[in-house]
Amino acid sequence: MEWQGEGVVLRVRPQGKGAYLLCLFSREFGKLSGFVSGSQKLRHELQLGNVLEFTHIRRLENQLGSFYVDLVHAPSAQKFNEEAYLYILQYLGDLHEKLLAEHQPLPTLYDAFQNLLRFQGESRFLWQSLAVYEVSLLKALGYGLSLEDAYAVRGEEDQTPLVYVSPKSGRAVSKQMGAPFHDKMLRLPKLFGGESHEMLDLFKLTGHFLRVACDGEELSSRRNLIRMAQELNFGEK
Amino acid sequence: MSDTKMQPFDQLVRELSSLPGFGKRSAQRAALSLLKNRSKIGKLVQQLKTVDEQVCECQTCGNLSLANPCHICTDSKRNPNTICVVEGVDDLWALERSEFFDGVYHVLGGVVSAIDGIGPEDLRFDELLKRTEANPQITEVILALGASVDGSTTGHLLARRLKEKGVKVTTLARGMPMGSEVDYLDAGTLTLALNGRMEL
Repeated sequence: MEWQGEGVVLRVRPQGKGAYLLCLFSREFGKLSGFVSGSQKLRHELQLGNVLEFTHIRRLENQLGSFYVDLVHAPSAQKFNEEAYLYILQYLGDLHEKLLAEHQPLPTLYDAFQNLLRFQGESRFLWQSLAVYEVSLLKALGYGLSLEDAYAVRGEEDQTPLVYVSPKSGRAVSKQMGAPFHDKMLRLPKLFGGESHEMLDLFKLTGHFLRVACDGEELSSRRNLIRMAQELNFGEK
Repeated sequence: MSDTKMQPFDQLVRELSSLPGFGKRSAQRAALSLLKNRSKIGKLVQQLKTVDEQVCECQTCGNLSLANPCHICTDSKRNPNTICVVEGVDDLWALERSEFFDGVYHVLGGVVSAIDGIGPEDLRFDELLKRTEANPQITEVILALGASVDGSTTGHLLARRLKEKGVKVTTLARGMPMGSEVDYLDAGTLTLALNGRMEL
């Protein structure tokens, strides 16, 4: 079996001398893992977030195959001076490696991931873009949030604004309906049509459902990322 | 699983192959060579014991040495006010080979890696911050970490904490290696080289 395409490096582990165990996320085939070997130059190319053109060969479908790779684009090298970008890149590598299933194509998510990797702009918008991407990832994994007005939980004649999200259903909830459960509800951020301007509420929302997707455990990389984000004040001056 | 039906020999091969640079085949060759030349076994065992007993980690910089503090930290000819931060002892040795740097070192013991679950608390961050607090004469901390995502992340994290304490932080230049040709460089290295270009 032979597959060819373009993919983003998620993880590289040294495997003996001059060989690596590579995990990448491709548009056509989803997450793929396999061995790759080569010269010292290869190590430069196998950087987290780099886009590679690959040929993946497996003798059997359930076998860990081999890669032949060529560097297409190195976004991380352009962002070596952007602290927030590097933290996010590390986190996304971990997140994808843990959550994506092997060989399950997710082209829409891949395109969104590429857009995030090529992000140009102020740091605070990068954090917002990350949260939006996390929502896309949740949707792709079957944990889609219904934050639009059409799916909202609200009573008859209830005209109060949407300010909450149900931690169980992932649907937006009106102020009146959610008020009795205020402490249990997640806040609907302004970015998704709510009232909360707090960046932390944004990440609490996605973090809750990512934890559900990770069988109730929060990834340590995400915990560290949020800690760093708070230290950097989410890019706000 | 036994290959040779000699359990101690297979065990030795397993132990050797767990070392970096040794695969199963090369471990087997090394073990066979030792068996063919048994006088080497005694010398090797003795040397391993000596290294285990005498080599220690310098509590100041994290270097491996026969003394604590190490020969670099106690060298009066070196400038104790410039600290070069490296990932591991092998990086320290590489910088020493250049015979260019006359300051002292600080070995971090790794780099921050989200995917491997290595955070600042797992590295010798606090020891470095304490060193800078204890010696207000320190004029510069040079970050000599790898030009990778993990190395850069670690550098930013460390730089922010050191700058809070008013310490000047610099990093090694990134870009073209000596003797390289432009058309052989990968896109990432060229990007770094262009970003770090300097006026002539």
